[in-house]
Amino acid sequence: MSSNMIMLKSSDGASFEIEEAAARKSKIIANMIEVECVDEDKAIPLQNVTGNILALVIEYCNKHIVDDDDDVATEEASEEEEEAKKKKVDDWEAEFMNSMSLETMFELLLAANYLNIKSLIDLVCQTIANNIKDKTPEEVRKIFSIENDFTPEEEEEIRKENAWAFG
Amino acid sequence: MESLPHDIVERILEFVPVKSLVRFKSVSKQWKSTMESQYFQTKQLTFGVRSVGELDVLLVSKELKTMVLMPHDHHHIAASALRTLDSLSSLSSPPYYLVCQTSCDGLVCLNAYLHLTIVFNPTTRWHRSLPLSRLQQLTFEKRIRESYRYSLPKLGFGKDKINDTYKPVWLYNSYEFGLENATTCEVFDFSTNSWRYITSSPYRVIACPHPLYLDGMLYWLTEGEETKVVSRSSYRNFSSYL
Repeated sequence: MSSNMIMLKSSDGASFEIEEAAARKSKIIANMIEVECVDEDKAIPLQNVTGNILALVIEYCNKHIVDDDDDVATEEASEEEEEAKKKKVDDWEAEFMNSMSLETMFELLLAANYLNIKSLIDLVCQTIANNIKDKTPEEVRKIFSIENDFTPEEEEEIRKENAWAFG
Repeated sequence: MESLPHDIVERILEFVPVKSLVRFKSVSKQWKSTMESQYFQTKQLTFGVRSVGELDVLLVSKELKTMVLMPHDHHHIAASALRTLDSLSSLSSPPYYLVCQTSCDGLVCLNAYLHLTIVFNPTTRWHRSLPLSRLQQLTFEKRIRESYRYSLPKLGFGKDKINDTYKPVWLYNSYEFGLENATTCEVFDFSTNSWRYITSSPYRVIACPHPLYLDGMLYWLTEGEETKVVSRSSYRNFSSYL
């Protein structure tokens, strides 16, 4: 299999070289390749993604190149092999997300959304969800920079109705 | 910290467990309306089923005094995993309730012959009482005149996949209640809060087995002409009467 390389350029001017197969994880880039608006010598400018975030996206894509293309090849693989493989990816993903701050996760989520990489969106959403599920509404407001637009009475009313969930 | 557009926030919330979502209703008006929207609830439900796999088991005592949510996976049962729910018995003073054998999307349907049927979501504590069906009214009258010697019909409960609504359904033999045709069918419609009557099976229902719900259909066992056949009461038929 030939592995064409593609150049990506972040909003702050950093250039990254990436295999076409990895870049195709992004629906947006895959579309660009389909309609042949990718010039081989020119980098694709990604105005909404900074270099440090793009590096994370590329790390993720490189790790996940195989799982789509491998569908045919793995048909004969045994169930155990399949499971071991899945566990390896899960472990890698857990490690990948583990060291990240919430702030980085938000930026990564925006980038994944912009580049349309569904599996990465799901991974980041799931991690953020786990992170906030035990927090109080006040803490959640702070994390998402949300202003409380309830009157104290309204808020008390909602709390009373759903008291069991606050226990 | 960068703030996220609300459509992305909603994608995160799809992964948050129900109990936390209920608590997060008080974050802001926008969050509250998201959680109460049908679209979001459907999405969250699809995800919940996908991620949890096996759902919890609900244990209900006869008089609704005790309700316990128990994880389906028996290996992990620990005292802390059992969640006792508030009893619903304050709603009425029921002698005893039957739990419909079919439940869907975490909703269970509790019924007693002479009391209001209750549709209940043990996870969110949402519940709603339904008005008495004709069957229940007739049962009530019959009881006064004579002790019942027929076996009592069982309530079916399922989801109409075409209209995306939940429906409690009675299918019972007409003769015992002095009604016409072989059987009578009543379907509860949540949008009008009333029971409707629709054309029903030409074969009498065998009352003992509970109706079965499978993939958008409710099935009753009926007496066929030659052998016993399974009568298929399709929601597709139902919906044309709604």
